[in-house]
Amino acid sequence: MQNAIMTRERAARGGDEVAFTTLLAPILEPGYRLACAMLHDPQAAEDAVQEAALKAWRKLDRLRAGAEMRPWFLGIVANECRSTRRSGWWAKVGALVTDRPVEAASDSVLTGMEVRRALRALEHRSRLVLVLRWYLDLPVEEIARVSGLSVHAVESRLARATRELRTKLQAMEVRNG
Amino acid sequence: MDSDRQLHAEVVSALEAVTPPAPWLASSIGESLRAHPRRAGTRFTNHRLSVAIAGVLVPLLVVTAGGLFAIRSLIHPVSAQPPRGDVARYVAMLTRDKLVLDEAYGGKVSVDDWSTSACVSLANQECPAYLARVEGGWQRMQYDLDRTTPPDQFKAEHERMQANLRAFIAALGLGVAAFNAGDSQTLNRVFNSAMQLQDQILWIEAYVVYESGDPKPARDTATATYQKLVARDYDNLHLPALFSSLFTCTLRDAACTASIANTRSALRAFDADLRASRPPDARLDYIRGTLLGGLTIELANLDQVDAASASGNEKALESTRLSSLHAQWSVSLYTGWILYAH
Repeated sequence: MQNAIMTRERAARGGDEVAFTTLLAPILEPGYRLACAMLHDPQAAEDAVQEAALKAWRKLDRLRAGAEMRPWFLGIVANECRSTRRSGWWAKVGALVTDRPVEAASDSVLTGMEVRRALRALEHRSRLVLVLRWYLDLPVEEIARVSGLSVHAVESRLARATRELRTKLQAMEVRNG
Repeated sequence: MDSDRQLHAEVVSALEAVTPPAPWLASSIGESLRAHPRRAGTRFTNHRLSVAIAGVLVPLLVVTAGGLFAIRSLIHPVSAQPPRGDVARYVAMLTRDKLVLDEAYGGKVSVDDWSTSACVSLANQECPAYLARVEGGWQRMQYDLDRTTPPDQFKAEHERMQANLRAFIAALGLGVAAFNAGDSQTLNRVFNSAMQLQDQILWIEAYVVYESGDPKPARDTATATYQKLVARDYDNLHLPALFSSLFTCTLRDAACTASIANTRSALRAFDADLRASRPPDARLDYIRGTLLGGLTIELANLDQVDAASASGNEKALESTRLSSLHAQWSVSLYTGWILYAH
């Protein structure tokens, strides 16, 4: 299994796009889920993953031989999401895109829209570690590789992000009565 | 929120709601990777050898490619249509962008419908926020178009939308600045003139969506040839670029003069081609007459803008460039009747 992966990786590094696509296939879904969770806009998420895949393809030489591809690719996706959020249009109409009610009403005091709004209010890295841990169920060591932080920094960032999110949601609950 | 577990569940459920399945993602990424081949990391260290090899290989490749192209043209005189999926994805992107735009405008925005109460006077404090929101909606479309390779059949429309978007977004930005500076003249110019660019984009977008729908009866060769000629000459006018120049023209402005000179020669070529060609039906013949009138008026307007600018007459420059912007609207409208309205 490992040999097959290494053979494909060598072929991909040699310019074989089919080998690269095969390597990428199992990590596209987590990449797309990460982008959706960071942007809350499926179309922008698709674009981000598409762009990240092209960048990964062009920069494949920078992936250390034998290194895991998933954290490397997710790191590129996270950077793409950050660039998207920095684009001119996002500041002006990002909220129009992301605040569309997409789920049916639930009995919960907080709606999904409010949870997403609270998530969006978190700083990029805090949101990233929270999404990677809670939504993608990644181990802390891998989150460290995706985010470029140390394991210790990820743990403390995760604890702080959870506190911040809880505070924001409690404030919303109070406002909603 | 009682516990981490409940919070975790709330977060997952909120995020699942914005993560619809995208089963086409892998295939669309595969297609895009195929379109961007990557070279292996081999590097020549011997410069002379590299130059010598390149000297032999490049002409050889050019000759081979030319030969292959010629053979292919003989076998397939008509270029193959792009896969249907490409068109569907392109149209889906435009449709989603249009939905965002409708939300930005606070209602469905369509051709010839650009009235808003948000910016009727400088006293209306909603105007900057409204313009910024609308500008953001158009920027989103621009962002998508800039990152997308259009299907071959909509390449010209794609480029036309991009050119109009650039000019329109710049004009909206000027509108916001004008409001903040209390400059009602520029603000009015945005609403009275720049909306022709918005109309063009919306018209083209609607045309692309319509054309991509159910199969249409084949257009006869004469009409298709005539439309091709009109499209080429119209695109050569570079009206969105001229619009941007005229919008900000100052006296003896070299950039403005150059832009006018470019369009003037293209207007003459368009005029000559229309007079020399024979429209395939009475309707197109009628439109040709009105279009020729519009071209003549715009040629005269551009001469007057140049004269006003050269003589240092600011008042005349203001009025002549407004006339020119208005005549551009007519030229685009009549051309649109030929290109998009069947």
